[in-house]
Amino acid sequence: MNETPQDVPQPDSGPESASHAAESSEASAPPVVPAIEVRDLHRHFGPLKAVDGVSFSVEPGQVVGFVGANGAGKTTTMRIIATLDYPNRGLVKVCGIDVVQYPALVRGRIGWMPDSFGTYDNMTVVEYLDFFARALGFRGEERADRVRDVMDFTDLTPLADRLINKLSKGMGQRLCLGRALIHDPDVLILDEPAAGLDPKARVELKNLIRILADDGKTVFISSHILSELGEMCDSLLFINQGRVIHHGSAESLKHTTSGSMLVDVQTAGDPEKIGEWAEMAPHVTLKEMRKRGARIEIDSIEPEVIAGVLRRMINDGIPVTEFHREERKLEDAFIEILGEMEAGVLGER
Amino acid sequence: MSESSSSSDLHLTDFPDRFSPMLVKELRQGMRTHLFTIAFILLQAFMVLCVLIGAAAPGDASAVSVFFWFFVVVTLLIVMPIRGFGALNSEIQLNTMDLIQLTRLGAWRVTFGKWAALVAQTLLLVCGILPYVVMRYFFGGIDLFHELLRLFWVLIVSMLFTAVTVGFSAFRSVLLRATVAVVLLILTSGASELGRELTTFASGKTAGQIALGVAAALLSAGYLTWFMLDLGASRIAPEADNHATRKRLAALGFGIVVLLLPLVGLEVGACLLIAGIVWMLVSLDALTERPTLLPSLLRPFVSRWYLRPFSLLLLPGWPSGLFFYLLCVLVFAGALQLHTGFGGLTLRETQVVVSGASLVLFPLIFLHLFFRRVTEPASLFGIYLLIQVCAGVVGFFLMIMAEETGVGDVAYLFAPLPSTALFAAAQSNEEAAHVYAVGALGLCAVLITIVRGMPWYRDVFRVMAALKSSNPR
Repeated sequence: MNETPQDVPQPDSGPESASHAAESSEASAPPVVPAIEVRDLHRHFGPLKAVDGVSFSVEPGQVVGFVGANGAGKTTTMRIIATLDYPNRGLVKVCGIDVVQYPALVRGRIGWMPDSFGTYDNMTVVEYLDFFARALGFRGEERADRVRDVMDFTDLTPLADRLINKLSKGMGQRLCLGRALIHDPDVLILDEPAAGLDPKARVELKNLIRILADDGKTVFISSHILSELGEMCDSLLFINQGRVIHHGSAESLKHTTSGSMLVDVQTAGDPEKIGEWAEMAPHVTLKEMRKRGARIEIDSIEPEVIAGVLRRMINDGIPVTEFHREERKLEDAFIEILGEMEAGVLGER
Repeated sequence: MSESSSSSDLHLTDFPDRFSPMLVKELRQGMRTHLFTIAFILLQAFMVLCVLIGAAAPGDASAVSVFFWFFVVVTLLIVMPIRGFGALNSEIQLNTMDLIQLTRLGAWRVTFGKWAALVAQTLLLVCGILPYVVMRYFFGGIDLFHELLRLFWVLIVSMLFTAVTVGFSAFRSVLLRATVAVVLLILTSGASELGRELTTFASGKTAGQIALGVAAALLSAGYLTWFMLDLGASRIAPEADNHATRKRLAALGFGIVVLLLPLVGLEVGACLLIAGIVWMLVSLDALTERPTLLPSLLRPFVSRWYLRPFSLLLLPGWPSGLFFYLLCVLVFAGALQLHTGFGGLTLRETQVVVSGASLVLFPLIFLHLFFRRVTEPASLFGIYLLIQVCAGVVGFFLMIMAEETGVGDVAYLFAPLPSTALFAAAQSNEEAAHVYAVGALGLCAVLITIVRGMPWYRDVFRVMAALKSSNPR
């Protein structure tokens, strides 16, 4: 019938505790307060477990990608972090502040960009930003400065007097990012910011996020485009069916396949030859045939074994023109992890 | 930051900082809309026409007055309030409520800002009308004071209607909003009657009674405006915001004050009617609210032992709404006893009270038996209203039939329907059997609601115990 979020009250974890921590830290090594801390988070909508025991933390200044299929629980988790929804159980803190107990304090520290937002009629770019600056409590010249700064940063100054419902999707996303930055938040939560953008707008948005990250802001970003996340994120968090299934750096995902290595082999002659050869050779599995060769997997990362495979290939008369290690696509890594989880191999990493 | 920065070069100095951000936004947007511009130009054109006709036939203002007030009423009571239906709904549809929620603007400030912007635009139109009122006075045939007084009351009603539309704009149901629009149109068509009542109100009354009557009317309009705006605010507010407690306490306080007004000379019937309507409205809201049980909502009730029982009356949600409504019924019955000198109620009065009380309760039977899966408060509210409207229409037609055919028994067949019993009592067709039938129906509704609310009542005690143990004081 009714929902009882946060069954057990949590008296700790206020801004006070954060400041106490800061005071006590002077004596010993300073403990780093995570920018985002999620512990055993549950959110149910009736029988649907949208989020089912998610735990992770994001260090200050990190850019973390949040990856999952539609309905995996990404947006629900992000909305709870952004104080827009309530957990049924679990603890969520932003900069050490409990989002349920002190939502107003948390809102001052976060910038939220939803996956979709409507544009107001009869309102210009500068009026839109001015409205949010006023609503966030900025007055007088400070308000004008904030508006000007974000317009400069997002390159919207030339469009200041344009009606916002006349903006392109890319300009709209820049405006939305500008709105999220008006109060100079420490943590940015971006839900699918690149969805529906053309390549140019996507690159512009990626550059803006990179600048923000260099500026020391924590960015928690969800996207379906894993290759882009891999380029700009320090780590990636995979979620499926409301549970975290992997948390690690993009580099480790690209290079590690449980002790094996992917190699792109290009040949001068008939590519079928390398296919036939790969099926017979030890330590080698054919992954994919290509126009001028094949993609093979060597079941070891030992240099001797790899060198041995190449030597044998040449000795067996394969006209090799190129032999180089290939990074695993993040999409492949994600699907592989999903597959392992479904097969019960992985459980929860 | 650049030293040369100033807000003027960004064109941001059109509204001062002390204005509410929502008011500024809505004014900037609203005054650019086609509807406002067209309404403004058309009204000016009609006013010029009225003045020209008045100038052609000076001294004979009656025909011109009809046109003049028709245009004023249509613009101020229909066109401008109707715009309120898009107020909160547009934010919900545009998915911008979340963005606003992350600012310092609470749900109340958002709703109030939107209403204030619409009222400001209405005031602008009224300011545009004023010179024409003076010109009509110049050509003769009108009482300037009465014209201005009437314009004032039309403005007050316009503000109230705008609050109604802004409040209901938080509900997604188009059917519900259409029903409200029809009700407002019906009320507007009765505006001339209201105007006559208000202009003849002062006759035969002392200055004190007039002042008290005007104050009571303004207080009622003010309270209803606040209530309607808070109704909208509570529907867009996050679950952690408790609007129910203050809404119920304000209604209780307002109703009690109104019920005491007959002691200083105001009519008993009018005061009972106002208090009854206000309590029905607030109970309608309370009985369809989503039951929410966040610890932050319960904490104020846990802080003092004597506040704990009040949680079952004042926490958001229909399970507590039921007890709040029963309290209102008790207070109302007590006030009725007080004003009848504790001489007991007549059968007719009893039928009015019991069928009035059951009228609010009986849709709960349908809601809790047949619409159990509906949890969205706006849907509950809409279904509740539709049941009421259907019952009201049935009751009304049965009474018309009974009256036209002279066969009262037709209506008696449906007497257990509270609306029919209420109409029957209004037409002096009271019967003890009707009172029992309607009372039994009301009791059924109470029992069914309590049974369905049991898990919630249990949760209240459980969370309270947890809060008490975590923070013993």
